[in-house]
Amino acid sequence: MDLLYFSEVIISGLLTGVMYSLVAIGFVLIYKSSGVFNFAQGTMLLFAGLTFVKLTEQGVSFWYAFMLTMGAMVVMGILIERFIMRPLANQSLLSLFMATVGLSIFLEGFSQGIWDSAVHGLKLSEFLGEPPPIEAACQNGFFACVWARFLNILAALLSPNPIFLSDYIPGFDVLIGAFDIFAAIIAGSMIIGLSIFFQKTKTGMSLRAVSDDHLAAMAVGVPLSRIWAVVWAVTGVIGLVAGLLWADRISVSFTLTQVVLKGLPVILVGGLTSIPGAIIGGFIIGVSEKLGEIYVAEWFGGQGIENWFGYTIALLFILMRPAGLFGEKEIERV
Amino acid sequence: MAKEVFMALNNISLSFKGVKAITDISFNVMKGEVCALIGPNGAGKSSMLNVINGVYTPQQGTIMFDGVSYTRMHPRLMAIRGIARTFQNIALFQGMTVLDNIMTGRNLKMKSTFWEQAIFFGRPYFEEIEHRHKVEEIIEFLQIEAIRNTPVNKLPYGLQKRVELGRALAMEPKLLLLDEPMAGMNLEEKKDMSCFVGEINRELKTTIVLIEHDMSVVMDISDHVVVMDYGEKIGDGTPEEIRGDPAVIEAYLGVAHTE
Repeated sequence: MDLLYFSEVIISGLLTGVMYSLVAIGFVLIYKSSGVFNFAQGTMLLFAGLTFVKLTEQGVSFWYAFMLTMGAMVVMGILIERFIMRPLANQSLLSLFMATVGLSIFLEGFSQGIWDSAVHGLKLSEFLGEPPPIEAACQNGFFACVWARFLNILAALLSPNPIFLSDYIPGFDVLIGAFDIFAAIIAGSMIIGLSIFFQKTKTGMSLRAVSDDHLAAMAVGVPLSRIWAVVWAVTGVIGLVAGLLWADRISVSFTLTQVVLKGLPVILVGGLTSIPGAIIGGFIIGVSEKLGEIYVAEWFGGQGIENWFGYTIALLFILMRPAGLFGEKEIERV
Repeated sequence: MAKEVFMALNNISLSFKGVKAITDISFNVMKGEVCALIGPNGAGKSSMLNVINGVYTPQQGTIMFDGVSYTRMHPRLMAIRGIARTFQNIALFQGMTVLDNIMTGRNLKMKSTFWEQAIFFGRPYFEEIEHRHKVEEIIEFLQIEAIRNTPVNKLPYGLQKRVELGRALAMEPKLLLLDEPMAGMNLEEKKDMSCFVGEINRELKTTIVLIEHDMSVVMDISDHVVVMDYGEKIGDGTPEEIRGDPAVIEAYLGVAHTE
């Protein structure tokens, strides 16, 4: 076995895995707080992606479009809490699940209704434009120089060209997709930020309290409805970021709703209730998909097993650990 | 000591789909007293506690608490008004450590906003230190220093009950509701727990309503006993009065009590 090629496969698997983790964390947050599997996750991605793309097509600049879409996702989170979670509190889980199915259908129609159902190309590199030449900028002082270098690195990462790691690490002759690195950095920092937020702050502690015991959480004064609104809004923002990163590869269209299916094997492996589980699960699924594609596919008559190999891995994990690697045995809603 | 009515329950009735859990019960809880609710299993004691706490809304009756009268309550509202509780079946946050569990009791005291927490700078940081200090005091009071960083699901039952008491204390409540705080404990654990309850009442001047089956404990720590049977109140008075009440003896004390 070629060790360099093997590490190339592993690295690209890890990078893809971070993207899966981000999608999976959306599921985990909702499940922890609301006790329900959010069927509408995929359409939330589509809604975010479509809103962003249509805004930029109207000539709105990147950051304005981003902030506006983020605002829309937060408002959506608040509305979901008010009109779905609150009326259905203490109802059966199945009702709640069906409500998310309904939400999914509604959002799909709504987003294609106010926008359209065409396929929209999205290239994040276009928003950056041509980076300034480094030498010229470095004549204008230190900060201009640093900024120009940063923009150049960003442009390199956003480009569709692969990066030769041997340029940076001598002898390490490995080829990595530049955008994969960019996406992994963005998704990774978002995951780290969310983990710290939900680990360290009062809101995070309240979320964990709610996920453990609704009644006890209320008895210590946790505002259940506000936690729900925060979590749904945060999930919407995750949907926006994940949606944009994926849309750069597969463009904005209905296919975007299918992306979240990649999060399913991740939460099965990592456990529905655990953020670290979603991270580790993402790595496991990402890497095993790539390894499967390269080393196992020939036994199954060629390529394309990447699409289902992750589920097979998830199935094996379920057989061994039904609650996932880090999942809690059971969660009961009060 | 001049007594002042801290909580008055007036004609409370509660039923679940036609099954009566509580029938027309009224009693007063004085400020600073330990009031015990006793009665056979199924007498409606826990339901009563859940009504006070706002988990159940009674079909009839009002509750006057700390000068304000309510017909509808909500657990969070009552938490804000100063009621803390423990549960019959321990309701700790299983995934968290002892420290974090008690810290959740500080929830209402933390004033930092969502956005301040998002950047975790300034107020949330200083608040954290202040609340941590308070939580350490409680941990010391309950003598659970050694287990402060243990996840609660790893702890034995008796200690979990103690942690749950700690979480309620962290809310600095005016009224503490304890649902069978000593159930399932051995003699030594019971002694410790009654000491804690007594100390909380004396030192912190917290009014306490508790449900307990162990008569010796009840007679020992309470100032006031309310006896329930089949959802009705059959006795109300000092421990001495209750001990001598024929109706109570017939319904409850007369029967050999097995735990």
